[in-house]
Amino acid sequence: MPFTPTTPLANQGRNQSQQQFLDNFMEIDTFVGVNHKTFGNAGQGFHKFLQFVDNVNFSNVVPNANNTEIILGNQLSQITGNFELTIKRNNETYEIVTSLQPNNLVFQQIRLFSGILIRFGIATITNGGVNTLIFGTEQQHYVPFTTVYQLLVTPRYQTNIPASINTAIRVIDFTATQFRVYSSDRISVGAHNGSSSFSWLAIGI
Amino acid sequence: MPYNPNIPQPNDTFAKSQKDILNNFISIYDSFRVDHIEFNFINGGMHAKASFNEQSTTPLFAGNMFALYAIEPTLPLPETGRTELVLHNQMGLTFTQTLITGRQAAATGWTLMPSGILIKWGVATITGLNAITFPVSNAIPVFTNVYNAQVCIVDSATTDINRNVIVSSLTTTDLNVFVTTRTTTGAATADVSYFVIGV
Repeated sequence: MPFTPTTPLANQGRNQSQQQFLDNFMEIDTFVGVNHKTFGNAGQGFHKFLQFVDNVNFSNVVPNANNTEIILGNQLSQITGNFELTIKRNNETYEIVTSLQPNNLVFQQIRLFSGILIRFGIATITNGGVNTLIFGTEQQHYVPFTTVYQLLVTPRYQTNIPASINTAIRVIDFTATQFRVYSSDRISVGAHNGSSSFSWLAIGI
Repeated sequence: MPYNPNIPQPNDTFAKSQKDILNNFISIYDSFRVDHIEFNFINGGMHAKASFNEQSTTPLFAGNMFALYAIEPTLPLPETGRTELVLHNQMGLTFTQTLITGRQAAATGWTLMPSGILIKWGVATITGLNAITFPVSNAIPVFTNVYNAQVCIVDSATTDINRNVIVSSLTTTDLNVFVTTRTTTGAATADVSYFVIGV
């Protein structure tokens, strides 16, 4: 039944109005029941679930001027190419990014509802001493950091490289786009001779 | 158009009711299209977005349910000073609240997840066996339980500073670590980066 908001008009007879009223009340009942508990039932007015339609231009939605509004919606991500659950608050917009990285990549990333971005992965370096690594060398679905707050590294033992038992790794520094580590021998002072592998975890926004 | 739920009254003329009813239908139409796909459109009734205006006080619910709402948190929630989205889990007469958008975005910071998992991170200068005490304020949630801690040495030197860090113990208020030289067992001083997971 179509919903007619502009009824009844001043010159409408009751016969015409009656059908439009009936149609409107039936359509309201159907409309509300899509995502809400229906009229006349226990819990009426509550949500059953939230369905976010993906053909809406959520990009143009702006929270209220006094920054006391938080908005959830669906937005076509320029990064993943998929529609992603998105949260907007104050002057911030964060795609929750429900798309994970493909399994053949060596890093993953998680955007939390708070906006905090966590990225973690595994890196292999071929030389000891100072090494510079770039976040997101794999460009697919890469969500860039604005700021990185902390970075942690842990050495990994590679069974096919026995010398890797003698490695230590530490963080030198990091930016939003890259980080530097120092690879040394574990049992002696100085740069490690050869390749090594390590796990890393970065927290930022 | 203002919505009037008290029409028509028994003694209202049709001329008066006509305008009241018209205004009500227009109000229904305009109100629902704020966050929903409109009447007469495909997917009408579904959400285009969900907008949460800040609640002035914590809503009261009955029964068992989850609810989402926006509020500026007050104690016992961390007083972040911002409007936050809260996941409210009502279980009979008791409830829990989780600030799913809560965070301190800084070099020493924290964030909460909808599951209630709390993550804290930071950096501290430590000598030998010593405690990293998690910052405390009304704006920072306190761990009720801690599960895991990760640490590493961080230093801007481009030579080997010969340092190592080991986790000694973990409590809800402190992370105890032992900083030594790497090649001997002697105590030393270094900056330690940490990452702790709990609730």
